[in-house]
Amino acid sequence: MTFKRIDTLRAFFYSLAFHAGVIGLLMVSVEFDRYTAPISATPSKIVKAVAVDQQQVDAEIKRLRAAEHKERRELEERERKLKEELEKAKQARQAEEARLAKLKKEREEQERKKRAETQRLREAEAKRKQEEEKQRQVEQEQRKKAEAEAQRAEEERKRQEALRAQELLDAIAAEEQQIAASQQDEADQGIISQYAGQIKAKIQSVFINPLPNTKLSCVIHIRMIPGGEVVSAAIVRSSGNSAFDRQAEIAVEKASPLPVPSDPRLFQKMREIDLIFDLAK
Amino acid sequence: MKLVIKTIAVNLIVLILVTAAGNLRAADVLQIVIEQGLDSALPIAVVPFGSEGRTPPVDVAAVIAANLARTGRFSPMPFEDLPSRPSEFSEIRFQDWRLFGMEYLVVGQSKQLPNGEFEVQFRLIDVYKGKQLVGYRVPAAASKLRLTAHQVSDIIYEKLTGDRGAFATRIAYVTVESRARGSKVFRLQLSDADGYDARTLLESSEPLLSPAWSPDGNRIAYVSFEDKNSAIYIQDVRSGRRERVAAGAGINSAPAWSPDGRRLALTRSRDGDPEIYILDLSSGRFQRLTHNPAIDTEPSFSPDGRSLIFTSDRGGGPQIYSYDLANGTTRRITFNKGNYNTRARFSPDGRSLVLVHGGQRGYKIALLDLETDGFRVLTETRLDESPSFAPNGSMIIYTTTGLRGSELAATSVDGRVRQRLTQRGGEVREPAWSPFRK
Repeated sequence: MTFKRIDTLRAFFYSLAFHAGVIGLLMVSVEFDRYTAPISATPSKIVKAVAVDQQQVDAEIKRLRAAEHKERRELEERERKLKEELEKAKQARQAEEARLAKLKKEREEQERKKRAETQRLREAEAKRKQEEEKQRQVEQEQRKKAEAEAQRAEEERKRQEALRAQELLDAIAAEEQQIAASQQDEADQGIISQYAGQIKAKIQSVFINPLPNTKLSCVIHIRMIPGGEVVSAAIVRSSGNSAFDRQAEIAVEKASPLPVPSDPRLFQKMREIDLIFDLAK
Repeated sequence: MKLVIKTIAVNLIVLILVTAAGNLRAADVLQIVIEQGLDSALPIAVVPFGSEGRTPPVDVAAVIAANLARTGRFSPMPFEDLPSRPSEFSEIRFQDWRLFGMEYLVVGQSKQLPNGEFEVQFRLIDVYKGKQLVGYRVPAAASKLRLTAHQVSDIIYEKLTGDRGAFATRIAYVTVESRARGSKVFRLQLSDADGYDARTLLESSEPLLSPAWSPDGNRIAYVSFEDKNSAIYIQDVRSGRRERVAAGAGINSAPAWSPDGRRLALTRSRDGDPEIYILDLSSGRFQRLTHNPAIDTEPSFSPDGRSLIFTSDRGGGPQIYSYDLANGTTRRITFNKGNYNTRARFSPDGRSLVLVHGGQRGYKIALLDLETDGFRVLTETRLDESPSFAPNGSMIIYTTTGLRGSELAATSVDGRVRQRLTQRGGEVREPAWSPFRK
């Protein structure tokens, strides 16, 4: 729309310029006609042939000649004047032309400047529009972002809340379990210590202390499978005497399987044991 | 609202406690204290060695088994009870040996080498782990096979007890052979620690007494009556060269080496009654230590060389006293241990004394713990004398009275195993166990 309007405006200016040019030209040609008309209207003198005496004739001829001479001088004068005038007219026309050319040039310059200004204005306008559009987009984006952020925060808050609720439930469950377990524990402990006593007796019945006169002690960590078979025995603290350590290990191997409860729950509580070989001297 | 906060707080505490309990779990593992062991010897099976080529003149496995058994710390399975006789690792069926409760197995073989010597190969095996603990291949001349067997015994002993073995050591002792018309032949002899392979260092028609090893095991000091009076000699074991270091009026007896081998403690009676002297071997000068009208004799250096113990009857009956070499003070060691305690010797670690203890049922070998004053009679025979510690302190040799007079015997230091050592006739007196072989 805008661009069209600008086009129309431009056409209007063009048209205006054109008409002005035509009018100017017409004015020049009118003046030209007025100056050239006298030249083409100069009349030529026709001589009539009649017989007269010579003297007369000569006088006549002399008169005629003088007249003709005078006429010719006048004609020449007129012609010279005419030429001068023509020259003057020519100069005036040239000056006028120059003036017109200058005028035209000025107009064109103006026109160009006007066009450049128009162009500049148009571009500035477009740029402004573009920047406005950009700004609008940025704002929209920021708005969307903020909205998303808010939503996420809300979701996180809800999640945390749920988590805390679950933790609380878990803690309550753990506490309940703990209470139940501690009651069970007391009962279990009695049974376990009975088995521990049996394990101790069985190992002591096969353990041969290779250095009965030296006070030594070592710790063997054992793991059993249900049924009491020892599946791993590792010295976690050495006595410093490899013979003593080895005899302790052999005692464990010899005593395996060790007496353990058949109840899987109870067995679970004693499937790993630290055997402390600590012999009173 | 208040209730909710309270519930949360309580549960938080519970949570913390549960977490803490989880962290403590490692220490929470059931612990069982094993505070007693069997007072028995290690069950071991020494399988007779296989042989390739000529059968060696020594039954290496038998020597090893006897050595181990004599310490009281091993009970080797009798050969006739062995379920099988593997000589290679691959031939061992571990299940069989576990069934018999055997904890260790010794297998090996001997091979005759092209040069006529032998190569003995052995392996000590942990039956319950099913793996070899140690294994060696040792070349040995036929005449050295017993020594090889003793060295193998040392390796096994050290591996299984943590203590150094003392089988490849020797004992020195005096034998007395009665001849026609009441004459006697006295011999200073040397044998393996098990009593085998005896050889004579010195032979005399007059009494020989009290052999004592120098700390480096190269020399033996002893008492000889060859000059009709007692004199102390030092003899080089290899070359046989000897030197008289103490002689003269009265008694010259009971030599004992200082730990550095530079001095000899001994008994002299040149000033009247027997007193303890120290002889500096490089200068030949004597220093009298005791001044007492009673009998002071049988000195013995402590392993740290700072004191001497000796026998004295200054308190009435014979008892053991200690002389401090730094300040010259004397104190009695045996109190409330009966009326008769003589001829004490330090254990190699210096913590106990072995001595002859006399009571209503005769003379016996007893052990006195110097730290606890614990006293233990080790032997049950009636005339036991001259105890001497093995250099590793695990055993004591002594003499006891048998059908043919005094015999050589050995007891484990806990008195668990006692054994008479072989001999080829005649009486044996005053055995002295050598230091470790260098």
